[in-house]
Amino acid sequence: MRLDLKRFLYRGYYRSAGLKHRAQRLLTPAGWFVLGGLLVCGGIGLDTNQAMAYQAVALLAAALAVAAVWQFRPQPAIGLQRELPRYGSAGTKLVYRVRLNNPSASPLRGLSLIEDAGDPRPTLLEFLQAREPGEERRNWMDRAFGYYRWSWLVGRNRRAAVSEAPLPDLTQHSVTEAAVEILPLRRGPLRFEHADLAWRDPFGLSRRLCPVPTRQSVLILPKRYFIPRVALPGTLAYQQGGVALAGSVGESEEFVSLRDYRRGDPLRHIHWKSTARTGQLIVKEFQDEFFMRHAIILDTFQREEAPDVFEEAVSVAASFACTLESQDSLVDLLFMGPRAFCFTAGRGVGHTEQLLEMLAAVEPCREKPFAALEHLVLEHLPRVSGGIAIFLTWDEPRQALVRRIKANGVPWLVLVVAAAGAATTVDPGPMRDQPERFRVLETGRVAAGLARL
Amino acid sequence: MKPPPLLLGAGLLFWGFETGWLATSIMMAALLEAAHWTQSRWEFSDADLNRIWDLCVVLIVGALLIRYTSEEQNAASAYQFFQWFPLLFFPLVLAQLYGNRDRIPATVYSWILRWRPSKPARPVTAFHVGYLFFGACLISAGAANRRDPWFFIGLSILCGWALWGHRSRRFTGPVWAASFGAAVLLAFYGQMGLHQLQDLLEGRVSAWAARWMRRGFDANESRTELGSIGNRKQSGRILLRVRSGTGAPPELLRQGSYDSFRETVWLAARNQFASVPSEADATTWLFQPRTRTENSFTLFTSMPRPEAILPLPLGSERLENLPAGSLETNLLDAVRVREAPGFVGCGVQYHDERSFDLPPDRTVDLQIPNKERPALEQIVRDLRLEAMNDPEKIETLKSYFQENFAYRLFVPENLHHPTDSNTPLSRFLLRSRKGHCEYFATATVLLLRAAGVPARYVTGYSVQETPDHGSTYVVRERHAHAWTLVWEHGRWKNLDTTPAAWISVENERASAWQWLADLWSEGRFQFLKWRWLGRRDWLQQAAPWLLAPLALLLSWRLFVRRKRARRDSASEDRSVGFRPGADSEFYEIEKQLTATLGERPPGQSLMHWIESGPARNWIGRERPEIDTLLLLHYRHRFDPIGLPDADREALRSGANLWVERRRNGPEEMNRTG
Repeated sequence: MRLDLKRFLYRGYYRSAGLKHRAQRLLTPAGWFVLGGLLVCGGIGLDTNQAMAYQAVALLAAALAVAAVWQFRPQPAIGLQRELPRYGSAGTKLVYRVRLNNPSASPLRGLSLIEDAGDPRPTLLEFLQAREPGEERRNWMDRAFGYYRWSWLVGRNRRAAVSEAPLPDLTQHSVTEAAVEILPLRRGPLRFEHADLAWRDPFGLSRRLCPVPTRQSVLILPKRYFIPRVALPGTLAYQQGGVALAGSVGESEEFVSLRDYRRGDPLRHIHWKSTARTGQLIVKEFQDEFFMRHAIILDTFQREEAPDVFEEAVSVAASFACTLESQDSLVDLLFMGPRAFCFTAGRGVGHTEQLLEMLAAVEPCREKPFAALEHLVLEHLPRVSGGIAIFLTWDEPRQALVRRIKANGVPWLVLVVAAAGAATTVDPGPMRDQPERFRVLETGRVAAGLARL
Repeated sequence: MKPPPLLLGAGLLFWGFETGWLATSIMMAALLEAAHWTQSRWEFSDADLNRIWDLCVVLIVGALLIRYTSEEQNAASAYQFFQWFPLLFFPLVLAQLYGNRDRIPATVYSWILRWRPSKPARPVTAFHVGYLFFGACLISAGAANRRDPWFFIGLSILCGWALWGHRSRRFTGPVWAASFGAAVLLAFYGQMGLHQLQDLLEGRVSAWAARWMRRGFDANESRTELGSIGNRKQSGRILLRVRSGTGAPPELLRQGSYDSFRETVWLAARNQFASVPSEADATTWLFQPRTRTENSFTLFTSMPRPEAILPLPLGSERLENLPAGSLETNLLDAVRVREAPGFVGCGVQYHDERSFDLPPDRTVDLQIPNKERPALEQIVRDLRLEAMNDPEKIETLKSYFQENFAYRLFVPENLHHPTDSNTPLSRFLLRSRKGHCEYFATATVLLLRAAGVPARYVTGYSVQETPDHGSTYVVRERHAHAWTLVWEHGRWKNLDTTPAAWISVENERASAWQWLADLWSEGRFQFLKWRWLGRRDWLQQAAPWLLAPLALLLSWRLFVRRKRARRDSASEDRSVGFRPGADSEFYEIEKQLTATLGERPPGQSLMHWIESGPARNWIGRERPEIDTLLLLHYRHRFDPIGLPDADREALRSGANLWVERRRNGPEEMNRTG
């Protein structure tokens, strides 16, 4: 009975969301304003003897009716091809070009383009199984009707925010290029099924939509934060069996650049000519072959009620993955998916893009226990000279893992991503003796937390 | 979306033209349009916009209160409120046009949104209020209800202007004009159709629609509930108050008399109204010459509409203290008042045995519908009424109903479908013998007519409840009643055959919360009496006592605020007094410099000022001395440890010496130099 009610509600929400989506595309903001005005005047002008608002009702309704008639005007078929970049980033505007082919014999003006970034409506199973964060605190009616859950799921599934992009005039028998802008909201592949070409009626109240099927996709990388140039923990380490990873051991004689003297630089590296010329100590810098190998451990064991925390953790991992590579070290990304993943990037082995691609596709792990990640990390531990562990919670199994990592003598930075306002309640536990290497990042304030590193 | 220049001004002028507030609208329009030619803009923060919106809300609430207290639930007054929209929202649109914000965020309008913890990920909706204000101007202009073609013409022009700004580039001007012309043409016929549709609905299409849209009491017809299924729900709302004067108040107050019965509807066939003459004061109205034996009472009632039917007793002779535009009666003695104030308290003088109703017209007042005839004739035969004289017939019928019939609100027999021989009335008379007052009144009228006695159907109110067992009676909505007028001994008389138990049955249906509603009603009654009749009643006497605590609170708040302000300023003074370095003698040097070079530019430090061109030239060779003194001044002023005594003395003496030298003139300066 309860399930039937949920199914019934789901169908209702599904259909009404479809209608709403269609109405939002059919009517322009001016059209919505006219429709709103029509309803208000309808209420006020109900009694035609008391007010003249019924004349406004007639005029606004007539304007909408004439606009609707224009919808039936036949439109020429237009070819459309996107020139998409390889990647985009969640939360950053993605600008790309579209090529529009007007095969007709007349120029086309006043056209606009509305992308379709996929249907955000959840499936029935998703609707039945998902739990909105904080749903247990809602009243019984909200829980029974599940409207908030539905709107939360729709928001979560929306891959990109699209808006109407005005197009330039399309001259006859020619191809015109135009720039289109969308805002990707989620990481992962963003698939375009079709694009809607829109013509407005003379009054600008409604749009005639002509869907142009063009299947293309772009990979949206996780949102990344700025991380200051941090001195990551770790020491130079010899990379065993790492011919592919390290060409030789020690410092090569390969001269890279000149730089200012820093305390601790060997005196034999001083470049005397430059020092004499500038009056300041200048040293030669060589390509070092002892290098650091950092690991990023990403906790993918998401608690159902905190999906934002998981997304933020992925973003934090992506931010470090970008930053560390530029510091000439190897970066190992360790996480659990359907199986154990360990991906290495840096020094010509792999590229940051590949790391980010992995992170763009990472999903919460529900099949395996946390012990699997622990096993993976401990197996990998001897090879790394330090690392960053990003946890979704700070419970006993995770603290136990950190204890074992610490026992290995390798320095680690431990980051716990927590819900907003939860930072003060987290006890550092095994990291109490190294408070500078333990941070709690609250969702919504992650950038500020990372900037303080 | 931002409206094009002059559109808002044009909208305001249109509103002014329609509502008759042209002068105000010209000023408002000039103020709004001046924004397009003014460069300077106010910087409004969210908090400022919140306050401006709160001001609009206060204006709206104030306007609603004024409307509510002036003419009560009057439909026309509600439309008058709509006419004020441009005035009420004017502060907001001014803030929009003269502010530096292109869009006003939605959080400004909603207290809930303001209080909700902000979610950084969720962008706040923001919009320009220009078009909303433009729409408000048009709606308000429409609410003025000037029934002339100018409204439609103006509306079309303004809407066309607004739509022109949003036209699609795909269409040329002529195509747009043709489309808009088609829309206007369609709208023209559409608005006529809408008006006719309402007439149709109000007129004849369905009984419920007519009842729903009906405005006030209808003296022309009374739709009965005969044959309806279910309870007749009447509330305990107090409609009238009757204060008895000479003699007891009347038992029945008549609102309308009807002479013609069709299906379930009583109609007034003779419904032409004629004016009643008034005396010189225009508040006293005379229906018929006064008699010596008279009763009087005062009737208090709200007049929700400017035109209403007054409930008055049979034999009303004179009305006093009724400041109305005109008073009219029809041939069946319904009394219609026009242009009445929102609340009246009029004195009524009446004579029980005199009525100004016309004598019966036997073609109408003895008329019986053919459908009802078999049942009526059967009763007349059974009671042998034909053999009796008129008073006997009346008495017989009265006792017949009292002895054989019962009062009941729910009539289950109505579940059967009526046929020609089985009408609701015949079922009531022959089978169920249970019904409400409309059954009794209708049956009595028709039986009397069947027996040859002229009779009419009357609706109105029964006056029976006196809450304080005193001289004031209250008449509630559920005291609405129907009874019979019968022609006896050459005059019309009231005849109520409904069993007396109907009052207790109705009273049993009173809500448990009626006392609360009565309390509110009493408060409102006293307020309205004070507001409209201006009597020195308890409310007016109590007003100073009610206002006294408010005044005290206000004075206390003012006192506390002033005290706090004084305390704050005192503490500020103290802090100024203790500012370190304020006693520095270097300020004297600064004064000299200011006197010669003018004010130090704001934001420029003393050091920079002295280093600047004019000051440097003027100081000339004394620069090292000034620099030393300035350094000492800075230390005195900003060093938390302060100056040692020796340095303090050096500053004092050095500055004084310099000032002294300056005062003595440039000659000495040159000499010293």
